[in-house]
Amino acid sequence: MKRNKVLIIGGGIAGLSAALELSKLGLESIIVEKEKNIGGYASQFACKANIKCVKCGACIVHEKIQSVINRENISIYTKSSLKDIKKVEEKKYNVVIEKNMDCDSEKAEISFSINAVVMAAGFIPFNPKDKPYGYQKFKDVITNLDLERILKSENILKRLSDNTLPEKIAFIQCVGSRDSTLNHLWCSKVCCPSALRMANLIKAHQNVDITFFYIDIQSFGKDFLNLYPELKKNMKMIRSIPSDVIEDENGKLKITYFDNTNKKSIDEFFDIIVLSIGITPNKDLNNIVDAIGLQINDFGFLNKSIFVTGSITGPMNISETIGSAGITALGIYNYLKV
Amino acid sequence: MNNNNEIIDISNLDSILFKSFSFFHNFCITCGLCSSTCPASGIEEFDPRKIVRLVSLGLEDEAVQSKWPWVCTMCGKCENLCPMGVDITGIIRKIRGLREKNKIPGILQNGLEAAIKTGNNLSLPKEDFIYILEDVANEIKEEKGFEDFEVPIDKKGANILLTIHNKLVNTHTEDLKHWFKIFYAANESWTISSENWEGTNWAYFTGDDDSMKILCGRIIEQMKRLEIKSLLWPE
Ligand SMILES: Cc1cc2nc3c(=O)[nH]c(=O)nc-3n(C[C@H](O)[C@H](O)[C@H](O)COP(=O)(O)OP(=O)(O)OC[C@H]3O[C@@H](n4cnc5c(N)ncnc54)[C@H](O)[C@@H]3O)c2cc1C
Ligand code: SF4
Ligand code: SF4
Ligand code: SF4
Ligand code: SF4
Repeated sequence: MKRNKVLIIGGGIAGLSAALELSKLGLESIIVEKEKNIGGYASQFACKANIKCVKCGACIVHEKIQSVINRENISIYTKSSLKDIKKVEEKKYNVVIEKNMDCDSEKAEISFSINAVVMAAGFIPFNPKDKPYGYQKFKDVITNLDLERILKSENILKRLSDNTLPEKIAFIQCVGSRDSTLNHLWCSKVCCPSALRMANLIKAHQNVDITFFYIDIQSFGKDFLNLYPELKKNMKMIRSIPSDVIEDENGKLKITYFDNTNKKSIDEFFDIIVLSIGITPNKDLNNIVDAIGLQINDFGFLNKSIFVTGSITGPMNISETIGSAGITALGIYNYLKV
Repeated sequence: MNNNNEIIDISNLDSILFKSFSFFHNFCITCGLCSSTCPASGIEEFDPRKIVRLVSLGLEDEAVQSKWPWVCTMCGKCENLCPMGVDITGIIRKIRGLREKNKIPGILQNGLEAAIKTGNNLSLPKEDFIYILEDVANEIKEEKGFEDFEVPIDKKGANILLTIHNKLVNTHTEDLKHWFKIFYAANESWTISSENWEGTNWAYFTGDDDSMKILCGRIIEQMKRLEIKSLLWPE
């Protein structure tokens, strides 16, 4: 058992958590991460606590990163990818890892054998450039992911176009989720809680009006349900998704929507618009999926199995991802034991 | 429709009622995109999401008796954006079609009945129709370069059959000239039928499929009678 090695593809919260659990169970793991840093998307998020912690989960990732680095039986290859994988026999694969992919002079290949593979390559954030909201056209239309990254380093949110303080901000929910025209029939589960928490954080630091355009607020997890009444109190909540965004000559962003309360069509101007984009499947997995016999479902996510963990199987938040990694680690342990 | 303070009788809530609909209205996720984009939203307190809701909840009577389906312009913007592919104009037409004929608002039903009976919305006799067309043709002839212009009526074997919107032989005769002159300049072989020439089909707006078929069928008959393969139906 001791000599068993597990290859983990993806060093996000899923891969890191799986490695830590395997390590506790006495198994050695090797993480292959394509980016420069481990931690995945969750490591790019802001802490949303204002007076007290709002349990967004973002800080857990940094704890996990530290623990993984300190563990002896976990090795990490960043800027690396799985170049080749061949099944030699039951519970034995030969793999080739390409290191330092981004630098031609330092590029190198290493080969070794492993006993099991865990797929933890995560999700792809939806790119809203083809939606009529002017993303990548109007500077002050940003995504929730952009906002997470901004709030991670800045206390005060400013307009990207002219560095001025915004007076009015709008959040548009469900961009790229719950949309049959994209074959995205799922709710991404994380964007309602994350957007509301960020909106609240902004309100705590600056004087600004925030309007929330939503369909219905999806609240997964009991923590969020308890917080929700508090979070929405300072927001103008509109149960309607706007159809487009237009920038006027003064750089203000116009949204037209139907106001249910007054039964009128309204034109309203905002300084910043945040698009709450969702989670879409990671389809860039080359031959890995075939080589280890995984199955892709109709939407492009991987079917659950003991070799698959985290958001690559579908939308999930950080704590659910950690939970799924725990189950995977136990599954792998039992699989290798017999 | 009920006012804010009026209470809806929920004993009518029955989605089975609308099960005969061939629409995927139950897929509506109430996102409101349709209502955000609709140019008629807010008129008479109308918005398309409410219509789809009424249907999804099976409130057939309320939907059929409401003014709302008649506020829609049938422009189709809403369903173009709907993330769930709900056929909103299809639903609205279907609801309109369920209204008693004598309760259809405005002149729609009168015009339609005249068209079924006489071949056009205005009940314009054939001689008058031909007279108006020739009058317009005479005016064109007076313009430079159009001296030998003739309006081809019932020309067998022409390339194109042109239908005429009734307003063009009523209040907007000037507009006919543009069409005619373009055909002339393009040296096109075209014609107008002296019978069943009506280009509007108000059955489309009232949701009356049977009448719509009759009116369309008549135009096809004229194409057969005049041995014409292409139809130009500008309405
Ligand atoms: C805008 C936004 C806000 C969010 N906010 C919150 C929040 O506040 N709280 C919360 O709990 N959750 C939040 N989430 C969800 C959270 O991001 C996920 O739960 C979490 O990132 C899932 O972790 P993961 O490891 O499965 O995937 P990822 O974070 O995607 O990690 C996957 C890793 O695999 C690597 N990888 C991918 N392909 C390969 C490959 N072929 N080879 C090698 N490596 C590869 C990637 O580079 C990445 O490092 C949010 C999500 C979004 C989009
Ligand atoms: S859970 Fe979120 S809000 Fe709480 S301390 Fe951690 S990062 Fe901050
Ligand atoms: S979590 Fe909220 S914003 Fe995200 S897809 Fe679900 S309902 Fe839409
Ligand atoms: S756009 Fe479609 S899904 Fe959204 S409310 Fe209208 S009908 Fe329903
Ligand atoms: S078709 Fe009717 S409901 Fe749809 S956008 Fe046009 S006017 Fe509005």
